[in-house]
Amino acid sequence: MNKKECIAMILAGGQGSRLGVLTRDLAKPAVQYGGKYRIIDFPLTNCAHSGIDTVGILTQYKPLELNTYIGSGQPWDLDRNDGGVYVLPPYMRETAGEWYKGTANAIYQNIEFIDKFNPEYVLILSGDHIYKMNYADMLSYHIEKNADVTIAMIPVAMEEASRFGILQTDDNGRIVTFEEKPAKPKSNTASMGIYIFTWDKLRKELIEDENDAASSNDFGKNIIPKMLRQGSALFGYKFEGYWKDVGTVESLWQSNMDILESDCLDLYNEDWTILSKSPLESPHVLGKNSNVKDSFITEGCYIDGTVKHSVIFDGVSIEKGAEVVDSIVMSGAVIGEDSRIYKTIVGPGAKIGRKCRLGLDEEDKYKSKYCSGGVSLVGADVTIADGSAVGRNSMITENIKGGKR
Amino acid sequence: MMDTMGVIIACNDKVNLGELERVRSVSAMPFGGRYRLIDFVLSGMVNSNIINVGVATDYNYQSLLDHLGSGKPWDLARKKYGLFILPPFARHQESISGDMEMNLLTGILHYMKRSSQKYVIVADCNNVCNIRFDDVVAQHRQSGADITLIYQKTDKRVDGEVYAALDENNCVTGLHYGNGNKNCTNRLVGYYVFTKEVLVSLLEKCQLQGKNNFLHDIIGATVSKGRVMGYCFDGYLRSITDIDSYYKVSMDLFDSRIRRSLFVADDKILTKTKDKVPTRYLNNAEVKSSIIADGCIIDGIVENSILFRGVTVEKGAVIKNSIIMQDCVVSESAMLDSVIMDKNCVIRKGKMLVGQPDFPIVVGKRRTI
Repeated sequence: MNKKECIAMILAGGQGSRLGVLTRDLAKPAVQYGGKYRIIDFPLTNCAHSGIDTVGILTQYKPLELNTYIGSGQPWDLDRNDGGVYVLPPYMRETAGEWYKGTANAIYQNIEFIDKFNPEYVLILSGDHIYKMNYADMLSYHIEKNADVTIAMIPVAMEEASRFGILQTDDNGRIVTFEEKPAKPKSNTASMGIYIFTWDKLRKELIEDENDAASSNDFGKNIIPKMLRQGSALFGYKFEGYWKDVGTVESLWQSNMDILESDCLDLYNEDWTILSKSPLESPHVLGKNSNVKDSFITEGCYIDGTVKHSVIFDGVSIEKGAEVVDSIVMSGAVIGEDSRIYKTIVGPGAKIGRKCRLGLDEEDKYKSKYCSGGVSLVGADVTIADGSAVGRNSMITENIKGGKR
Repeated sequence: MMDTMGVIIACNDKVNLGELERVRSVSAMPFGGRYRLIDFVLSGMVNSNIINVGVATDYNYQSLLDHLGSGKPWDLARKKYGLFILPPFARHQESISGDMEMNLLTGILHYMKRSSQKYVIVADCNNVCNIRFDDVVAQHRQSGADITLIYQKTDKRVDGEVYAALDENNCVTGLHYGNGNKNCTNRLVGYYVFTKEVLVSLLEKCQLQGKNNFLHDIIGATVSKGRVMGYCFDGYLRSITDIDSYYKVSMDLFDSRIRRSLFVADDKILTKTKDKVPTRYLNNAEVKSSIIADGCIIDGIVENSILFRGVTVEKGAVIKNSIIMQDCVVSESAMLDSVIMDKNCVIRKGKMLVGQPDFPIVVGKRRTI
């Protein structure tokens, strides 16, 4: 192997349990986003456009769909002779094997993999954020500052700050405080979970951390605070632009709605095309009764109903008289005649019958702790019988059968 | 079908698309919102598990090369066989006589000889269809014929086409040209299965004797020996030969049965992907009965039209009965009816272009109006 300046490791092992039924059969990074993408397309696209040609993807929870999607890495130009994309599940060793215990442990278990490329720097990424970022700029900053760690940071709303790692920097950009998910945040500058480490420094820290029985082997909770305590050079890299953690049903819905706003995430920039594996369907067809406004629609769809302020994925059918508003309809779903769908995420392959009402009423029958902000969710491949009604904040995981109304 | 190879004849000889064809090989003609004509026959071969495909081109093959690339979208970027793009043989001046099909086939003799397959499908590139070749090759194998030609039944005969007369055993008894003999309406679609060694020896013989008419000297000569069988393709298949048929066949896509038989079958029509964003509909969009590819931004009125990838329709613009190719911009309050617009055109604010369905207006590549 040739020596690499910088390689990327994407943490894609989390279940993403707060996405409810959406992650029942697949890992969060494989969840669909924005009409034709999956969440992991964003970090992979950023790598491809930032000139990073070696990427390890750490998988653990239900990796089948993610592995199949990544394949040879060809859609991201990551099928390389020297480098490329590697899916890295935990594995057995001579004496024992174990799951990835925490984010730092996942990297620890792949030290040999990283050493093979003998990189100067390692970029650690999450597989569950939507953003466009040039990592090459961040790397230049890391080198310029002669840092041990550079953490990308972004201002967040103060009331949400306690969900993030919160940090403060001095005038030179050097990090002076760092607290993971503090109850009383000192600032609203949040860590984006994007780190560049100088590899020999990180390698040493990972080994020490592994030998510390009290550690939970997590970057935010253990590695970063310890390096800060011992006086390592930690720098904050200011990121400006759209960035969204899509960890919950509501934030996933919001982030999809955001692409309908012109000032959020520009997907049209030809220099930063979001790369993905195309479903390869024929162009979409709008029937004679269709009425589509303020929406995203992609290949393979047949739309004969009304669609407003919604994101429609490939191969979706929306039949005559149906009305889809403020919603996300994922690949291959069918919305039957005269059904009304409001503020709902319809999972891939779901079949909604005729004259159904989703997300319109205050109704408790299917209410779920995963759904908030009035957003409802229908699981993948679920069938909902004609005339069914599903209230707001509901989650449908099983078929709804017809019968008495 | 490891024993069968494909040869696609990508030449403009049989087609007259005027301004649209000036800039490209007909095989690379955009069709149906995101495809190129060659995608249909190439996908047909790939869907029949043919892994050795040669594309013989004449001049103007830049856009075809750009489209085919390594053959990856058709799974033809392979270690063993795969996609071969075969540009014209250098001695063009000497061999200019005769028809292009014969010239191209002669020029790739060594490629056919070198390949180990026993059968070869020779196919034109200007058909729109979703065809599998397994059945016809199976019939060819079983019959032991030298050539099996694919025909379709039509209701009337037209000039410029060739028709096959068959006996009760599907053996071809004669070829008929143009609109004569009203009874025989089996139109040749330009797809032939050959036993490869027969094709090679026929081509070599013709080369020596200076014979250079593919239909007459290869197919016709074998018909007179009684060694040609017919195979009837009864699915949807239309040949693009001129602007009129290009427009008509495009408009056929609005028939949902035809559209489904082409695109929603188990066998997909494969093409190069561009990673365009989904199409964005804005608040003033009013789109009905239309076929829209990805990457468009639509804020105007579109009816009965096909928009290719990356078309912008500004507020108040009206597009009816038209075919608008990749990356065109139709500005505010412009009006288009029955127009075929090639790639990268710009229609400025308020401009109007109105053709007729039987006489569409063609706007050449990169024009600004």
